[in-house]
Amino acid sequence: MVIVCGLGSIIGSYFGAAFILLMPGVMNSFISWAATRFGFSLGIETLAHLPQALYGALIIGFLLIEPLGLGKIYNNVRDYLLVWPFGYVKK
Amino acid sequence: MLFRQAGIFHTDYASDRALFPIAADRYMIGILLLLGLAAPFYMNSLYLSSYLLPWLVWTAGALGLNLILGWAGQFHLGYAAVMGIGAYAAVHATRFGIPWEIAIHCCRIDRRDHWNWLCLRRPSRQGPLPGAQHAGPAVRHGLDDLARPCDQRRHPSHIAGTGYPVAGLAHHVGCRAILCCIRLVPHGDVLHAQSAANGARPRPRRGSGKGLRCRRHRREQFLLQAFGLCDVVLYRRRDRGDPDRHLLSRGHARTVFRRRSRSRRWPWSLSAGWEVL
Repeated sequence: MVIVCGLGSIIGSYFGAAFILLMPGVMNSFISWAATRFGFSLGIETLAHLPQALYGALIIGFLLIEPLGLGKIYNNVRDYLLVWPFGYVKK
Repeated sequence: MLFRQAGIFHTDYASDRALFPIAADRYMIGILLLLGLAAPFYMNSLYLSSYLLPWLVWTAGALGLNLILGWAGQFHLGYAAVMGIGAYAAVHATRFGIPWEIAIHCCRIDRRDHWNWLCLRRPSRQGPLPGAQHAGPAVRHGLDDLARPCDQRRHPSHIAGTGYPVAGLAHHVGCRAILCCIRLVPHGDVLHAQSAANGARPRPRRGSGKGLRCRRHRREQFLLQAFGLCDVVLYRRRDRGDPDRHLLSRGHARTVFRRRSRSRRWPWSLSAGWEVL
């Protein structure tokens, strides 16, 4: 949760907790939707374990792509909006 | 746009140094606070108990970890040990029939170093595990106990049974948040030191109102040990000529340096706790 939310970020903690809390349900819905949409069948065990695997993959992905987590993503958006539409202004 | 800075002029220091100088931040916090307070009235109880409350509880946990891992910048396995000790004490108090609200306070009564402080004794620096003397007293206490055979442990309740460690965790997180607020807000720049948690007092300067300062230090040490914030002591860093300069006097710096070099040899700690922020 701390990895996903971002070290040293207060708002990131809120984002990270919400993300981890909502992720399994959303992922289950997404997988079952994809299974019906693309017509493949998954076993119950696969359905149960796939969110866990994706959870691990998410942590690895965050460490690789955005080590400072969701808090940093929020800050990036905020920094962009601070000077919008003058993106060339030094922040 | 949302976070527009154009047209906002900070003409005095107070507005420039405000916690949320941009109006959009203040509005967002206010709206979220109102939504949170009004949640029981517009939200289904199922969503309330299965989404909103876990979200807030998990956020408190993440913030507590963030205080140690993020801002404080240290990764200390003893932190988990201290939380575990407190949590198990609270669990077994609950199982004895003590109300939950009171039982969560048992996790700090349970500490030996707490009683040590009450007896005005310095905690012993000897520990059966090599290197354990460099840890905070609470960590050392936990490690001492874990190093003993099961039947000789002073507090077998720490390790027996399973239960609901969230109680202790929540208490510790809350106390840590309070402590860090106390220390961070008035003190500004911070420096990690472990001396207070280890029971070592800074030597008062001659003729500098030492009694008061020692009492203050005692109070801080009590707070730290009672609430379990055993490793992070946030000291003021001041300029020359400050009356509290002795905190970073030559002897103190030497102590910090010596302990820093020692702590590298401690295998249970990946601590960066001696580093100056």
